[in-house]
Amino acid sequence: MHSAYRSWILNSYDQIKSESVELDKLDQLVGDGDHGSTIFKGMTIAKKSYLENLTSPLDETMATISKQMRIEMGGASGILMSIFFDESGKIDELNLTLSIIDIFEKSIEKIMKRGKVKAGDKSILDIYIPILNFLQKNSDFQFKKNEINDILSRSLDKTKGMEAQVGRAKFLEKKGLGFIDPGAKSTEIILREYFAAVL
Amino acid sequence: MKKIINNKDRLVDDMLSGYIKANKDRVRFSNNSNRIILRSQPKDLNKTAVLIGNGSGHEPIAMGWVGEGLLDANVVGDIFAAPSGDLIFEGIQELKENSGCVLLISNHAGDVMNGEMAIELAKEHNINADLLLMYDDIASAPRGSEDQRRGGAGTTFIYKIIGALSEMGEKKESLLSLGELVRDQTRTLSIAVASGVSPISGEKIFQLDDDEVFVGMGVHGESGYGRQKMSSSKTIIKFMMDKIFDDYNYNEGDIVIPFINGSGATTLMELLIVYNDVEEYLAKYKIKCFKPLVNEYITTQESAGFSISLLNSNEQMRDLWISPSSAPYFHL
Repeated sequence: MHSAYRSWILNSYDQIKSESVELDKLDQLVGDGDHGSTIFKGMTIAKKSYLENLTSPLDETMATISKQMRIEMGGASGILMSIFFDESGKIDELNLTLSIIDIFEKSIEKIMKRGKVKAGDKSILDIYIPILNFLQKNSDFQFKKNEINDILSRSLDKTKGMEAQVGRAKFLEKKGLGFIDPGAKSTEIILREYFAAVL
Repeated sequence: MKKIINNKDRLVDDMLSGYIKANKDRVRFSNNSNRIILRSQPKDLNKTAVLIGNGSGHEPIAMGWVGEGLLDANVVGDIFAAPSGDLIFEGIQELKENSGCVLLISNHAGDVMNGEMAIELAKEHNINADLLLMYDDIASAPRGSEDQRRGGAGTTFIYKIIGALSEMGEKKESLLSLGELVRDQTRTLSIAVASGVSPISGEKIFQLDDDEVFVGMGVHGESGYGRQKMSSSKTIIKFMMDKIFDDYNYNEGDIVIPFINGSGATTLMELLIVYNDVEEYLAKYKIKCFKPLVNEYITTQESAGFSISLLNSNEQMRDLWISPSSAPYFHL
């Protein structure tokens, strides 16, 4: 599984790098305009930390990466987005489907608790929850990668119609209505690469 | 973007390095992190320690308020981003030998999440630390939902008053309880006149037309009561003070401590004109002012605008407010 995770981290880094300016622009509409820079900083440390910890057991490697991302990124993004990286270390090759479902369940539970956030609040949860629902309905994992990508795209698009109930966007004149949530966008990129690598 | 910096990625570290060099008689870095500012001369261990974690870009707060009579430590995050819970916990560990520790957190999403995590870690390590959540901005949530409000410039009263109380050897519980009372008797309302530029994105933080002001806008450009045409200080102050008076029941004879905070690019001339109008408004209701603070303390880069904070005070609060402090950037 190390080689799949290597692809995930390295490809996510490349994708975030190429989209970080766009993510900053998106964040200028609903935040303070630095989400792209922040998540790129997080993925830079994730890549570096992963390559330094290739020989450790995967759960230890991912726990280290998660902590480094949390420290490097800071803010709400750091603490919430690093949760999935920590949980993802618990993947079990012998029990792949159930372990991935479990990773999503635990990540969502922790994000809800730490961020005091729920579905529909215009946050990264609005990407994780539809994916978990899809995986639970298709727990035999007999689906095509395109289907996952479609869910990711549609879920991201739906955040445009949501009014933010959390974070800075909650205090804006239109609560970010009409705009994609930047955190949801970077999560969509990272999860797209995750499924491309592990399935 | 026109800012005098070297490297965007190092600007917070360069700033902190300059701050420590300029004030090395009073503050220093912790041994383990150049993002944790400590007093050069720590207070007695039998006294309760007070610290805060916050994003940078709002100087001089909060690093400038580390000193005798005020904070024991400041944990500094990146521009407009709370430091991680891990780093705040490191700050708490620096103070773990004190009889107790109060972590101040201004009510913004990232600050709260990371502050709560730090307190959980402290409790796991049997450190006697608790969190005091600070909020005061009346534009961010209605009356009755005070705990949903953002932390604004009025949090200053908590920093100073419980910082001073800690020097008297009072226990953590007394600090928390006075801090909550100060919070409950404080109201803040801000107004934005022009946006500053984020040193990270190089873009304006919010958009305002040249002839427009925005009452209630938060320090990161968050919305409030809405846009208005620019007008005289007296007209603006009446609008703002009416909102504050709608939110809090003041009585004849009350003694308030006013704080007029500039948001980065507001001249002292303007701030003093504002103060003049605020005191005149209060006098009409026979409310007295006690030792006001008027200057730029909680800024958002070169944003123009100001906030009015009022603490409806009692004698203990007033005594603690004017007690001495050695913090490099707190001057009553």
